[in-house]
Amino acid sequence: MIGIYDLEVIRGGFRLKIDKLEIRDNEYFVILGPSGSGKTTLLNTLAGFIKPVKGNIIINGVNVVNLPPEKRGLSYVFQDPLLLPHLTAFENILLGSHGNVDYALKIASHLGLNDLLGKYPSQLSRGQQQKVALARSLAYDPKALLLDEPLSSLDRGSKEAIMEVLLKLRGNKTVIHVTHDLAEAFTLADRLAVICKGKVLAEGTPDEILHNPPNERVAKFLGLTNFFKGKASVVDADKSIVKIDKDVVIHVYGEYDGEVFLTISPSDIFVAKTLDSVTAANKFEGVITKIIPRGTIDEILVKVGSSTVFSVYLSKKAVKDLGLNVGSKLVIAFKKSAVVVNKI
Amino acid sequence: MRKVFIGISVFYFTILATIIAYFVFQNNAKTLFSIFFSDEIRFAIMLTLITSISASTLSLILSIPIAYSLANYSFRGKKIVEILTDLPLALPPILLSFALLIFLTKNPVVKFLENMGLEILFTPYAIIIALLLYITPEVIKILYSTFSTIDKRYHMVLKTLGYSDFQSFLKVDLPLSSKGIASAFIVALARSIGAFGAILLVSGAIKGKTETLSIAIFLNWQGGNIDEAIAAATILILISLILFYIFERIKK
Repeated sequence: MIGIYDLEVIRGGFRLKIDKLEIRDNEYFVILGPSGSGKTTLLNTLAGFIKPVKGNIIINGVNVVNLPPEKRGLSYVFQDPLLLPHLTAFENILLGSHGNVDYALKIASHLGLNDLLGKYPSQLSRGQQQKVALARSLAYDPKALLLDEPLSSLDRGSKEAIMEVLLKLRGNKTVIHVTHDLAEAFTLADRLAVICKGKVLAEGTPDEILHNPPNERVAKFLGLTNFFKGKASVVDADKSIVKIDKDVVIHVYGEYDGEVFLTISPSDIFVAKTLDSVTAANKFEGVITKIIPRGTIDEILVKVGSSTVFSVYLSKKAVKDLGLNVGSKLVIAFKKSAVVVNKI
Repeated sequence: MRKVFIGISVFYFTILATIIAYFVFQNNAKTLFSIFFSDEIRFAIMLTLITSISASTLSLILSIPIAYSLANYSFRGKKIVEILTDLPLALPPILLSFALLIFLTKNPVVKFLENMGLEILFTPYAIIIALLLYITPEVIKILYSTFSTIDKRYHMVLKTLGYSDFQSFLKVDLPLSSKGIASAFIVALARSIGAFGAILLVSGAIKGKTETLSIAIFLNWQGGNIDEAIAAATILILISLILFYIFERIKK
């Protein structure tokens, strides 16, 4: 296990502070954050390139905070493959296995590199180079593999090929993967941490984070819509209401009191012509303020009351059949069970 | 513009080639041949090559760690080291020779060595030391620019693969800078072979003892042996041409 405790790193005016972050054995852990959030600083601190002001990094029971990078047993793959240009692909992998030919060959064949082994980096595509770089790091048999945006400089085809390799690592290797890409993070991660301005904002499985974003910043970063802050009060056993605006009150399951965040998935909201035709607990009349095409569907922004805007996903056909345009009046509705509530 | 610029280049190189050709054709093939095999010139060729190769090799050994430190580490007083490194480039070579002459005459350690029987001043050793001081700034400059171009992240990769600083230096920096190191050696050799002012005072310019090719030109010219002076000069030109041909090949 890799544990980061009470860690503080200062770089110029930037401060990274992590109270506790634990990465389990053979876990694929993603550190997700926008650029400048401190995620690469965290990775470099783990690798031993940056010395923290304070705190401990425990790898398999050993505090490595004072050990140099070469003694930590963590290998690092950068955004750029950084293969040594004067060595062939295989010689580069051998560098990782410290001359162990059998192990290097095993890793190379596991990653499907057998045909490329005799080639020099300049003869390989960017994606192939990154695959060799991954093989080189794996050939070292590290305690954990550190990946710093390993897919960000690749074209789509290569990205998918490397993604396949990374998916193979899940459950077999402890991986700490830093990225700003949501799709990448949610596809690969067993668990992930969302980091912003040097602080961990959320930590959990992709499901937990996506469906229960702990606060507005995480939700905004994740691009979640229909994220509202409101004041809750209990109305009955397992039933509460949340007032999010002076004229918008939402019914939810559970007993809540005080400030809460609500999330409603845009695809859980449906539309109707009149209020009477709907039986759902939450139904509001509203006006369409914007229709945003999103591939096969349209995202419709509906203003309810004086300032609350709901985002609703509808098929293009439905939008056409219902004759919806900017300015059209309609009713939006959703069930109590569609509302996810988080206490602040 | 293209025509004018190329025209200027052609003009310059025509003048240069004419001067050299005019000079070289002063040689009578027969006398050149006999002078070439004279004891004096053969000695001068050998002495020039031995002192130049020794000084260039020593300079590389000294310059690699210096240039590497300047390119990779930040340390207290780095700026002063950089200025001191560049300083000899701005000074006339004869000043270097003069300063070294004073040092070798007055320094107690040198005196002690002389008492132990190791003569330095006015011997080939003095030439090697003078050449070393003369060429090292330039060797450092070439190696510095070579080491600076190597991506430092290679070291980070190697470190996370369990290699020490020195191992990563051997595996990354030496192979990736081999061309730069070879170029630095050739430049050092070329500068050493042609050096005159830098070695004049400390060598004492003694015929048959500290007589390199450039000193042979000087001594023969001074003694009125113009044929010998021209022959020595011709050999210098030939050696330089060969070296720069090798230099160009390495660059490719």
